[in-house]
Amino acid sequence: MPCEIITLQLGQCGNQIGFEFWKKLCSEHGINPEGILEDYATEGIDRKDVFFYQADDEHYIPRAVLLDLEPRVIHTIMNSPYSKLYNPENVYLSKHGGGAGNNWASGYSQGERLHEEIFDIIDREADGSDSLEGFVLCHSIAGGTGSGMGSYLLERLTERYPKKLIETYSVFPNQDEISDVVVQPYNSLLTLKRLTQNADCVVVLDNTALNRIASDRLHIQNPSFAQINSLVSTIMSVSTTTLRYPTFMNNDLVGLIGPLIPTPRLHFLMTGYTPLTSDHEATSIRKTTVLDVMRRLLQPKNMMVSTAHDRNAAHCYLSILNIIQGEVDPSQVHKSLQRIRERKLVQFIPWGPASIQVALSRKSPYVPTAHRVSGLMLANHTNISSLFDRALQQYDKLRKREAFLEQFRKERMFKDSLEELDDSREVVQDLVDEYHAATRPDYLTWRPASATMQSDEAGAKTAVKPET
Amino acid sequence: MLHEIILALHGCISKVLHTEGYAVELGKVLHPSEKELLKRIIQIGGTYKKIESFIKKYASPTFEVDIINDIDSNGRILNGLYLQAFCFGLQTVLTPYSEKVVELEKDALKDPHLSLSSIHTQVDCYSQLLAMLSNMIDEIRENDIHGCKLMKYTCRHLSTGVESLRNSLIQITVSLHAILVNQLTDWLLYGKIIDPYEEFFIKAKPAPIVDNDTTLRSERTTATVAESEGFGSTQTAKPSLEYYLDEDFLPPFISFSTAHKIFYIGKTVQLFTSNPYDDSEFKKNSIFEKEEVELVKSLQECSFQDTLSSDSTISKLESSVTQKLWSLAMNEAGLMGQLKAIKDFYLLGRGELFVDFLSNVGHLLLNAPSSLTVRELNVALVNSARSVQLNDEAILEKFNFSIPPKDSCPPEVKIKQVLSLSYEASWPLHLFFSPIVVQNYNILFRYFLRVKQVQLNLHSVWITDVKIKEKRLTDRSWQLRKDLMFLVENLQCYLQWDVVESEYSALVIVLQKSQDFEMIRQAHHKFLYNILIQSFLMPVEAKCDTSTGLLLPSSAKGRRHSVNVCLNQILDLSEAFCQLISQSEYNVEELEGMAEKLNHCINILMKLISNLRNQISGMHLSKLLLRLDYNHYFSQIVQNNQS
Repeated sequence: MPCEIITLQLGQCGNQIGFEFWKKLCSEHGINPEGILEDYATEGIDRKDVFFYQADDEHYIPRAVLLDLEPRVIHTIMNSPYSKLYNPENVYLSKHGGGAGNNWASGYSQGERLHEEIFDIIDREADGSDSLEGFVLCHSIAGGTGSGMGSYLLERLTERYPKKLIETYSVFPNQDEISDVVVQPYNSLLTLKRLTQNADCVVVLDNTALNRIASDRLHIQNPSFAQINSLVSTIMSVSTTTLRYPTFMNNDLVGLIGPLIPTPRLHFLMTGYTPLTSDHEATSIRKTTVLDVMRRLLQPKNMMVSTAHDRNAAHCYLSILNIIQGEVDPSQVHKSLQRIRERKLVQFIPWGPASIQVALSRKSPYVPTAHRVSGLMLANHTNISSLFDRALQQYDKLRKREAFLEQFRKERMFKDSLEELDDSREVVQDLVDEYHAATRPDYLTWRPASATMQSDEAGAKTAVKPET
Repeated sequence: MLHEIILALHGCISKVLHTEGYAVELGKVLHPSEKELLKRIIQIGGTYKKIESFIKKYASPTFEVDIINDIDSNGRILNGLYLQAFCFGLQTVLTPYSEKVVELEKDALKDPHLSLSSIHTQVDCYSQLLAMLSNMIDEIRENDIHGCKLMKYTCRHLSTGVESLRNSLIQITVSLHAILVNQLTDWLLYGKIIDPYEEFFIKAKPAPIVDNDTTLRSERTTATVAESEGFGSTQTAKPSLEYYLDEDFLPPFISFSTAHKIFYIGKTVQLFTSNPYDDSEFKKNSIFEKEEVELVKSLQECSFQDTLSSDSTISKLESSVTQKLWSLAMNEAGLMGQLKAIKDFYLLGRGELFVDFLSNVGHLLLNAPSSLTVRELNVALVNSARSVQLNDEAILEKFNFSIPPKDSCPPEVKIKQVLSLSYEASWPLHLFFSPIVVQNYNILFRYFLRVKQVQLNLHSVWITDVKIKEKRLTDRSWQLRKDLMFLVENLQCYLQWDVVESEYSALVIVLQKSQDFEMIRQAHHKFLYNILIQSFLMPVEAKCDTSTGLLLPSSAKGRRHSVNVCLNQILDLSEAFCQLISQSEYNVEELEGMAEKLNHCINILMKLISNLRNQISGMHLSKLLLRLDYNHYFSQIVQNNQS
């Protein structure tokens, strides 16, 4: 079966959002919590095989690997009605169960230690699929397990599966509240380096924006994890909907993310969703057109990433993919595109061709929705760099004070030097710079500041393809 | 002598009156004026006799033996139902005359001194009629006026100003019309032609042996009832007949368009009788069921003078037939589902199916055509369908790859250039998906498949690119890949969204609204035609089928649309690029050359589109331009190049 995807969920956060994601997928495909196909799920238009494999005629099992260093969330999952959904061999809980203590270095080194056991599971899962297209990793960048072990996994996956795509759904910490994880800036920065160098596509789930949306738009005073996670699972499920309910385009992972990512390092995507309404509002729906949906998707208030306004750069889109679900008149798409261009609602890069792609996707027939048309935007926007910039600033603050570094020095990686931190900072700084450069027409001649110092073999006539 | 005269009026001219008009002896007794009268009377009698003998000869069915004897001067045979009816009509209009003669005889018995002039005045009023009829007979003989042409002939004479003649002619035409009505009823209600003398304006002839794949049945006035194509085995024994409309035989009161309707109705009715979904004998006998009696009645009541009412009956029949056909097509044959399948396969609506298909056997498409490869492709298609959980066997079985016979392919051709996907339409959708339609779908299929393949090749280059995170941006291959990928992605978007999906949704609306088979058939032709036009696959000065507007196979190689030429260059370039990149070592200069070529292509394309889109038919071009030049990047480049 083509284009199969293995989902890896790491740490508390990763397992939580992964859990919500699978719940959503099950209900959309008409699979009950025990993995059995519901009687009503007879309409064979969906492709369950992308995310599930079939144990027998009626029984579907997620291609999911659940990893954690502490038992709390995985226990919750295993005590839920969905406990029988997963292949128990794919659920890995470290034996000592002490977690990573919100320490990236601990997560990373535990990953190293548990390397064999973890890759036994992943390799088995990969061997079991006919034509694996890639991995989807769910994690947070702030904690210990998701960030540290996630980073380690990203590095090893790149080595081991050099031709498979790696997409991540990465949760960025909430900036509006004071974190109880003091080393969060270190964790984030170290993870960002791996996301830049080892992931092919990162869908940024920004907790700051998600919380703001929950309180401002959905009018929830103190949004709970469950409420935030339902937003996240919506984004995750809709962003994979063209794979699961295929139409003429964007039917595989590369077809979905390839056109969004013109240059390899700028692969951090923002998302936007509409309609964002709470349940009690759902009754008042007016007729929604494609144009309405596409226009709303371009409004900052519907974006799931909180980007700061940046006066120094004319930030712009590298690419946009709108996934629209519902009854849509295809001829409206052209008109909407035209209108958006006429009104100059989008600013695109000056150094290459760019456009809004629209994908139409079917809705699951088993999940009733109040909205006639809904849309998800996946966008590559240069202003996502403000998130990384923020991470850099916080890191610098902490680093200047040499604060909390003893926790890191305990681990082998940082025992002798903090070079790894410096190196990561450089990578992230380069990334921010590159995003800034991408707002300018001469982007294609841009070179990272770190690279200009090194002399390189310019002018070589023959390019040699790297081993893959 | 009176007796002789009366007999003469009856057509028996005795020796007394003889051929000269009168015998010598009589000549002596008669006054010259009486002689003249007598001459006229005898002339009337002679004409009557001629008509009478004509009637006798042709009024009854002619036997084989007679036919041989009955070869007229031109060596042709006069016979037929219409001729019989004509004779019958003659007889009817002559009745008053023969009655008059009987009356005269009575008068003569009563009054032995009945004068010649009084006899003459009594019968003279018929002389015009008789003369006309006699002329008609001559002309009929002379010109071999046959079958329905007789009606044309009599109707032409109807324009005479003489009321009595007109009435007689009407009587004759009525009797002819009765035959026509019978034949029409047979054709319209049962799709049969009972026409031993080939007199009807729709004729049947044995169909030539049709080579199923290559020969096209012309769709206009002739159409084969190809019983062999999916009609079930019961029909194969019957020799297939080809029906055609013979315009020479068309009576003047049936307009050309009505005739086509009539032709169409009969053909459709024939189709119904071969309905494989319904085996009941009753249905096979009559498709109109309860309506039948009423329809027969209203047909019988049709008058040739009242074309309005007969036309409306025909129209009623037509709409009833098309509606029945519509419901068959929609309900029994599942037209909507079939159209969806057509879109999914020919127009690559199931993208994931072809992603899998091309990634498995895409390389085979570069081979030379061979039946072995075709078999492999067929297996691969089925496998791909299974692997994407498309498990509808009934749909799958309908699609099959095929290639034209080897000798018809030019040398060094690749299989992807000649590959065609055949579709086995279920009854009665073969009317919908005629060979020409399928051929046009294949033009689209080959193009769409190519675009898809190029897209997938670029995707795999993207995967290798995205894995090299340290490479510098100045790398030419990245830049080229980025631009090519953008162009191909957006071309694909344009084709699928702006062309196929938009046209498809328009078609679905027609399908939902209309209940008329013909109308939806035409809407479907339009759908296909529009897609061809908007994909720029319609060659300039293309030879098109007149009824459908679709491309005839012969003209597919005409001069290509200039936008198509340009897009093809971009596709070629993409293929060459992917080929180059896949080599472990390549010359960077080659990339430079490609970049230059691409630049050139874009230049031309931008200019072309902006020049052409202002034309009335250029709406779709501005759609393509919007996709390709959304952020004005390419047009900016073109501008910079110019300044």
